[in-house]
Amino acid sequence: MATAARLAALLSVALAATLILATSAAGEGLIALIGWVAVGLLAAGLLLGHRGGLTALSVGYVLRLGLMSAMEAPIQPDLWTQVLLLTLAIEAGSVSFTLRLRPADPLPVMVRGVGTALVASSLVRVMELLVAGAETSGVLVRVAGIAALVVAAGWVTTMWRRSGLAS
Amino acid sequence: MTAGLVGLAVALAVGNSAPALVGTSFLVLGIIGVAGGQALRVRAEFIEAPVSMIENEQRTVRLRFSSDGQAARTYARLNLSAGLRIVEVDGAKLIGSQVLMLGAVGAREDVALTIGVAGWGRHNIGPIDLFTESPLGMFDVRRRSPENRTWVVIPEDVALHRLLSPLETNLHVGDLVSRKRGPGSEFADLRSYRPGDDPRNINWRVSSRSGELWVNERHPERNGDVVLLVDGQVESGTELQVLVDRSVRLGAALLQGHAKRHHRLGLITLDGTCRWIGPGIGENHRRRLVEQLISVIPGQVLWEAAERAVIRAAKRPAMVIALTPLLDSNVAGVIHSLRRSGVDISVVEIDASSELSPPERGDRQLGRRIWVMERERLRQRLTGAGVPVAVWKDVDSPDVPLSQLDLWRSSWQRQLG
Repeated sequence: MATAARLAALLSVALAATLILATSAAGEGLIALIGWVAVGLLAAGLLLGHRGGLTALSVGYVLRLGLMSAMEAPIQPDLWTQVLLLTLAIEAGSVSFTLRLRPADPLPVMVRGVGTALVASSLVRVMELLVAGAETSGVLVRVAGIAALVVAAGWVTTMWRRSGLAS
Repeated sequence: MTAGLVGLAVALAVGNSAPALVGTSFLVLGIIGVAGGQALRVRAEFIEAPVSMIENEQRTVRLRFSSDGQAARTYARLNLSAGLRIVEVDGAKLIGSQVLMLGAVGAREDVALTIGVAGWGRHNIGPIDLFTESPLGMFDVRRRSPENRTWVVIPEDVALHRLLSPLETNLHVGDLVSRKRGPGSEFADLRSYRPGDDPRNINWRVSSRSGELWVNERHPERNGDVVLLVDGQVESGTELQVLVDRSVRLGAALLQGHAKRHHRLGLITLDGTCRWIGPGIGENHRRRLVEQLISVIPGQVLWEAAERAVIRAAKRPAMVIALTPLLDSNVAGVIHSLRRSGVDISVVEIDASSELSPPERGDRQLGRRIWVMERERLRQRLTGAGVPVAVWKDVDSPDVPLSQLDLWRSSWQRQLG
């Protein structure tokens, strides 16, 4: 079980590094720095047994993506491919923690991880197609966005409490 | 979730949809995971478990898992002690050596485990750690079921063909022919009739020849007290630990053999502490003896208190059988004291020399020779004091030292008349 957990951790870091390497050509300096810091935090989290490493990677990636958008750097490869890599890295890290912390059958855990990654990238692809060509700036969009943010945060909190996980 | 919310916020800040798409997908996944259902807590209880086992035996343990609703995939870590292994599982899937995976747990799920045991001692199963996933596997809850079971595992039965018989008997009816006279079936002697004698004891053949009444005297059938002195005083963590294992195995066989002969049994164990159980009879008493015997671990006893305790516990008319490697001269001393006070004591010396690696250097060889000579002298001192000593080598059957002791005791009895 320990070997499987180590392998999953290695896979997670390798996927995260691949994601950063695949997109690093698009940005220099700060963009690359954020990416590598996120990968470093992931590696440290996996090494020290802190789940925060997974959150650091995903938040770092999103911040990096935002910075790339602000600098009008081209997003290459496709966003859904990046999300696929990112989710696979997170799921591999999650599998590593699961195998370390409790007994688990590795096969269904890995199948679930790959399934989650595919669903996430598919969602991004579908949403990409839906919002293609839409105007994403202006006051109305920002108001709608903030409303969506508040609703999402409220929804997440409510569901979290209802599920009993908050306690 | 955090990344999802950050993604939405970043998208608003930079006015680009890409972070929003990523954030939204994360949020949707999180919401699906949470909305899919919560992870229910699962309980575990034993519905069938053995109280005691024999070494290398396989027994069935039944566990019942239950939940207030329909719990999703559940993993149960059984926390088996070393020496126990799961041979077969019915009703769940075994992962690794001691984790059960249950597909789903409803109101009642029974799992049957066939458990094998290697090595005597106390073994336990539990407390059981239960990990239940949420239906979509995004979260899990952990619960520790406090129930556990401890089993006394008795050493594998060693059939002894010869047992020592106590020289003295007690007042309880048994299989031994007492040296005293009284009602019984074994003929002892003839004597002239005295008023009050039972007419059924009159030997009519002798009486008709002699012209006066003669009666048969008989030996009554009694049982004896047998006290085992098990010496576990060896250095722990060394190759000599196996001597304790051999002592306990022989002790268990002797207890079983003497119990079949309806003798009253007692036990003195010397390891880290000196513990004793006086002679007694019955199933509960035997269980106490076995439990104490299998709890013997290598260790050194404090002799100031132990010597008095041994002398108090091993009293006449008990026959004491000491199972000892004779590594501690204090043990030889206490055996000597018991013999001087008239206790019928025999020593089975568990051979330690075969367990030691041969000395390599010249000075070590000399040291070993001196050690062997000292032990030989110790043995001679004991035999000189009237204590039969038989060495049990690891290649010999346990019957070998018992036969030697029996021969020694028989010739000694003959000498005493």
